[in-house]
Amino acid sequence: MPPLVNSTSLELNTTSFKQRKRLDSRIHEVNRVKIRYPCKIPVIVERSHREKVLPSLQKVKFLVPPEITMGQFVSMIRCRLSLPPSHSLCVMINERQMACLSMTMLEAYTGQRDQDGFLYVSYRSHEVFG
Amino acid sequence: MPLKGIGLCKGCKEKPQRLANSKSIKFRAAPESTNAMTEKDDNEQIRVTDKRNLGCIVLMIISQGSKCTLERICRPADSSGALRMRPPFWKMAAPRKKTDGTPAGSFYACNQAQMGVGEGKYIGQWYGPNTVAQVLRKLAAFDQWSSMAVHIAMDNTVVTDEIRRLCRLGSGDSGPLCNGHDGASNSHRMWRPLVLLIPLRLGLSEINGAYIETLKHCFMLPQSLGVIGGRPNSAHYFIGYVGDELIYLDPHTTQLAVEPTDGIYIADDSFHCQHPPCRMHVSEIDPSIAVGFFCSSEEDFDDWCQRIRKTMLVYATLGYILESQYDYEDTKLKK
Repeated sequence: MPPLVNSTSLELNTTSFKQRKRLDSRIHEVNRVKIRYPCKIPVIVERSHREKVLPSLQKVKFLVPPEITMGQFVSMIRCRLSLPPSHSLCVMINERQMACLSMTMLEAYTGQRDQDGFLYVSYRSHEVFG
Repeated sequence: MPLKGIGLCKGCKEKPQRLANSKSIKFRAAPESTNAMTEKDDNEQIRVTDKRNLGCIVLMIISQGSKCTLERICRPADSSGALRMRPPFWKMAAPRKKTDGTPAGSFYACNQAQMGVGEGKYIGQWYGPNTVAQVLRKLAAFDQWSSMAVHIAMDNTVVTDEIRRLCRLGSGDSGPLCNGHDGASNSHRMWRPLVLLIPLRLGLSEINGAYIETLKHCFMLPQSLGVIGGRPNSAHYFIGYVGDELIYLDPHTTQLAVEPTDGIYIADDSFHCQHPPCRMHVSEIDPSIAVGFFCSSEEDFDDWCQRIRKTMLVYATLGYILESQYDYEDTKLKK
């Protein structure tokens, strides 16, 4: 299997969404989105900055229905990344907590959203050891 | 401070220094495999250019594999109630023998490396705990000798229905993550011994402190097979803990191959770890791990589920148990 990473996606993902945008513009964006789509949850899905195997997503901003579970959301990420089922995909909320797959997105959002109003989700594969 | 680990679930009162050398750990762990696979017998399949790369993680896998086998053999057979003695567990990892054409053991390191190719790892490349688990699952399907069922719980989720389907004999269909052993030769057993591997990532670059207690608790379950993981760049096999230190066996040693014979007695020294277990602080462990469990019977599995559920109430959860996959059936979202 060829490596999943191509050079362009590497360059795009060097800075995170938080680094690219200031706090006030992020808050502004959340407010704008909430007015336009009051029933959706704004989620930022990014590849972890040290990830070398998995590709990065074309788009990082997602609007997710609140009733779907984290499991459904993770499998959506899997589809977007076109990962085979045996490949590991570790999804973390706020870069530290494992995503509970039976939790709905609304529960995850209310508990763990950022101060700017986005829910930050990052993904990585497994580390290798020699 | 009590030492807790595989086979010591009630907490042993002996002092750690003494226990580190005690036989219980050595036996239950059976960490080192035998084949000096990088030095001989492998030229017909793979030309190994870098011995180091293939060695360590592969040994780690075998250690897990032979460990599982040992566990299984040591339980009483259902029919007679007697222990089966002197198991040919070396067959699991035996290298190919050229003279009489004895087939290589299923968990022979070269087979593992070849299976890894299917997982997108070229020979010589390092494996992660998830790849190890996948390779082990694939190899278990080829294993003629044990009817071991290997299941991998992806996305931190154990689906009990899937496991029951896999382990109950007679049900032919197996999911994409199950090895398709039909178990016809062992029809007197109703439940295939289960090796459950749960690949986890407990943090991004370092382990999240919230999960440490849960991880420790995993070692205390009677079904525990230990944890495969390591510190960055070096693979270890964790078998227990003392206080905040994890006890691990280092697989970075090759040992002499045992010549496969049909004799009852074989020297099994080289199946065991020659050096005493080492220790490291739990915060040094790399967050990528795979937790292993072994359930010899369905009751054992039910017991495990119960214990894990109890753990989840007390500590931060490592994974989740679902009754069926129904919740995830229609997971492809309509865009």
